[in-house]
Amino acid sequence: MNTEDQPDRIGDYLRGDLADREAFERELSANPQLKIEMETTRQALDAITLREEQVLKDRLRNLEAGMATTARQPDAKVIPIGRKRSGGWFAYAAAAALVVFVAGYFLLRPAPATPEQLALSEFEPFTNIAYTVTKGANDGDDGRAAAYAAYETGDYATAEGAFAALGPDDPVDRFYFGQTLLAQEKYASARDLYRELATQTDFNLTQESAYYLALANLGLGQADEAREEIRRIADNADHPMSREARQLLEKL
Amino acid sequence: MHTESEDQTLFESIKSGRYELIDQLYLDHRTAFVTYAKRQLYATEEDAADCFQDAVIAFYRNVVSGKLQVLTCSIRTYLFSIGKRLVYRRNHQRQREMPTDHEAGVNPADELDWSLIDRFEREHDRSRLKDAMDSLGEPCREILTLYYYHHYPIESIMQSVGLPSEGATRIKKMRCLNELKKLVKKTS
Repeated sequence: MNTEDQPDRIGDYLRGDLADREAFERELSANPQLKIEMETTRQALDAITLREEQVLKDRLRNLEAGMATTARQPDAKVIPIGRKRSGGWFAYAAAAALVVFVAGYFLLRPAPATPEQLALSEFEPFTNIAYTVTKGANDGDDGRAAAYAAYETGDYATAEGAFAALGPDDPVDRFYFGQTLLAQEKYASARDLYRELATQTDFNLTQESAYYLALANLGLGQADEAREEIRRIADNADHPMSREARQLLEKL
Repeated sequence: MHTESEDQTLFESIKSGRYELIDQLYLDHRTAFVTYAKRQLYATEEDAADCFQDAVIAFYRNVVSGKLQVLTCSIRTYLFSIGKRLVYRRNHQRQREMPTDHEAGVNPADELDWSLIDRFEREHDRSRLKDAMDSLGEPCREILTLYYYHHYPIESIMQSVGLPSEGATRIKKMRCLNELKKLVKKTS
């Protein structure tokens, strides 16, 4: 082996690019000098990694700082641009057509959605924090894996079927089952499920369930009851869904 | 939530060296992770965000180094797994109450290089290695970073640094590495 190539070979070995790793490892165990050289190279590569990761970390810290201090920027001032008058009769005809269109739109548009419907249309299912979906690694737990995999991809109809098949034993699975129902606007079934979960003891998503029960009631048109519950959650700063409840109230 | 094909596209772009996409990873998943870590792992907001930053960087490193060649789960699942392990570790260091890790079996975070993390947490080693890297001039720093950290091919580095040929770039890279090794030895 050409000794001039040795630093490159060590570097490539540590980078994971050396073709014949086994031969190199045999050489390494038989040659103490090579071992020392490799340790120094490893430290040099650590220095590179350490510095670059500090650069990337600073980049993400700046993003984080930006998220914390993001305030609404003042609206840009609109400066009218002087435009040459042109078009004559065409401009008047276009203006008249626009008036007719706008009037027609307001006369013929469908009935507006209620604030409740509008608020629910922005419903975002709870993040899957219960189950790590790993393809090909859940052979002993296919039903749950399928349910959560469908849930993560937003296929709520499939997820609903898969969660239903899991049975009523695990409240966490039931909680996500409820999310699939809300996502598909099946409010009556969601209400029954969350009513049960919201009163469970020794279940760490009880408070979240109370919030989703209120959402289901909102979807069923029981606005007063739902608003009262949502306001109660919003007023309780320690409630895990307090922020979401406040945002929802603003929309209502 | 990203679809599988969106995740796959993002994964391939990161693999091809677009490191700036870590911003997107962070912004897309940060809030969900912090909420999760606060509720389920008893982390503070600061610790959760800090650990998630490290998780995004670890994910990037695993992708570009080839340790993670195929995406076997969603990017969010992967990031959460790594972040969770880092929060456990942080909680342990702070002697905070620690929930049990219920997830047995294969875990995407198993690909984390804990020996590297351990080495970096030794303050003396950190400042020594930092000093060595700070003493190394340009373009050596750039060449070595692009090659050994971002895993750029020699041809790209040649163009980035403005060297005349791939051969010249290889030689320069070798000399730069030798220079860095000398600096590391000097600081030990």
